[in-house]
Amino acid sequence: MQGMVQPITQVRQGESAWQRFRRNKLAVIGLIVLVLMLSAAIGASFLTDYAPDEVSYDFLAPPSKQHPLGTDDVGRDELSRLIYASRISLTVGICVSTITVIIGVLVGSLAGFYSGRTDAWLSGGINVLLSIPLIPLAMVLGAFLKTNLLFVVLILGFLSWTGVARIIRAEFLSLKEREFITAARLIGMHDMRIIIRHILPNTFPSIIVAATLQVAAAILAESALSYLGFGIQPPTASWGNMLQNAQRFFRVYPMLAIYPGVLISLTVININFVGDGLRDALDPRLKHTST
Amino acid sequence: MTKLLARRLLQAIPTLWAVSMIMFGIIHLAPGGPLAIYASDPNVDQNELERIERRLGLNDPLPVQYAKWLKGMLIGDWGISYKFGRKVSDVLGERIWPSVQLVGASLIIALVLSVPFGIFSAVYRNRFLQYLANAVAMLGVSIPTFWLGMVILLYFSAKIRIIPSGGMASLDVEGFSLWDRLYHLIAPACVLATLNIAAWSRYVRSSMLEVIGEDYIRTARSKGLTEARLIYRHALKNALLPLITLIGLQGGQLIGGAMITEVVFAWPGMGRLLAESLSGRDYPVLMASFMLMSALVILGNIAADISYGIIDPRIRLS
Repeated sequence: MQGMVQPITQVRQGESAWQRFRRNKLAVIGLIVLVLMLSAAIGASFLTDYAPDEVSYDFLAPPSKQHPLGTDDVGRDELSRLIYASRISLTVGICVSTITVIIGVLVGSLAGFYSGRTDAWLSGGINVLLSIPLIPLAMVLGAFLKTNLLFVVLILGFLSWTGVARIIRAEFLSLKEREFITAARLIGMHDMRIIIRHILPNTFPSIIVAATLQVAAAILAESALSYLGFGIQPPTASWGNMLQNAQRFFRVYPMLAIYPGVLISLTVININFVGDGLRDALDPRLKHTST
Repeated sequence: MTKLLARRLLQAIPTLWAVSMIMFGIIHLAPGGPLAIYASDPNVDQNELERIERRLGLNDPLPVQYAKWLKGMLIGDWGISYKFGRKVSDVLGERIWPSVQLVGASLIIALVLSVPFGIFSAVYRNRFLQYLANAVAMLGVSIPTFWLGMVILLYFSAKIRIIPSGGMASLDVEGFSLWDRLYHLIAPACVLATLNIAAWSRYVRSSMLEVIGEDYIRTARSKGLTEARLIYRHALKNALLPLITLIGLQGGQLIGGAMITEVVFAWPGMGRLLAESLSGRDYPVLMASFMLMSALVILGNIAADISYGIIDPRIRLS
């Protein structure tokens, strides 16, 4: 392990990380696009005159002045549905990421700090969860629970924290051997205080990067679940269930199957750009590994 | 090596056991229950329903049901599918082969494309290639697989009609035809491969870059080896080794991961079976599929671990 980061003062580090981030054009573009999308999602009612579930007699209408992107099979304004659906995707992404970070940090830090039996049990649990494929398991839960936004968030959150936990555990394993931790122990500091005050702050860069990439993964997972019919249920619009619906008119009106997919891809790719930018900016030591 | 293998296989047993308890719990505690499929049938009256419940052993307490299931699983009696009325092992046996074909084809496609791509973008540090490598990697991990499948069907099947709209064989083809199979396989296999092409080319690229920076490559270069020989004889071997481990780690997950692709392309594999048995509440099939998929993931992890030791003897010591 060469080139461990030298402790730089907090302020300097903050500045240089931001400067490094700004140099990465794709990350900056990604951030701008995401801010725009978030504003559109929040201000949905100002952007469109139609409610997302407002039906009309214009079935599968082509784009027009009233309906910029046309209407779907029961005459609902496509643009309005797309914008309101972005709320679902972004909410799922952010909430799932928050849950995974909370559970992942908790489990990962305990497993990493207390090796031995605690670690064996927690790592065993992680391995069990890791060996069940995510989407099929989420489908089973989605099929049995009455799915709505809350359940989708909880299901995905409680199933996908293992990645964060493994990252945090690995960081704790190496950090707890460092001199400053030995010093903290020697002056009789409490375990909890060592974990929270001294080790955890050092893992923030990894946590931030993992949380960002988790938002993207959760959005993809939600869209897949909803597409299969086990996620967000119609009439609530989500990009995934809009794609499922569009599949029925696939041959006659293909554009309905294009818009939601483009938006999912656009959102996810921009989050990944930001995640990559953060990784480079916060911790230049970290190599690009496959996500 | 044998000792390590034996230990890892032994460790897999509690993991699988825990998986089976979790899945059994989720599936059997869920509302609706296995009888829902019969209850909705107007030809089945209350007495009949109770008789079926007794026959399927569903009136036993849950731990008893679990013990019966576990015993059956261990002696190879995986139960009878509610939906197909046939042995679960037969149903699974029929469906796993198409999945293996699909996953195998996608692995080959991913390897053939990602390895050269990763190498070239590392060796020729050309701006355009780097951008291309980044773009491919980013797009591959960001586009939802199922949507990519839909778009490909939309364009290549519905519009220009060069691929079939789904399934594994044409109706008018008698018996097995390799050509017909490949014709049906190509689109879903490519779609399934995209994620791995993206991830692996990035992985090959970074491990190649790392190896090129090593001292022994500098030594070889100072000996006067040609650049091509240097790359292909000395660097490549070491750069590709970690990929084998990665394939082991991900290979086991592929059957589960192929599910959504199978649904989009109506490919009659394990994934579609899973989706069908879920909507039909076919519990024995559901349980067995999950056990099989988890076992594959665990085996993949063990294979990765073992390959690690074979590849790099330094790791074997610990």
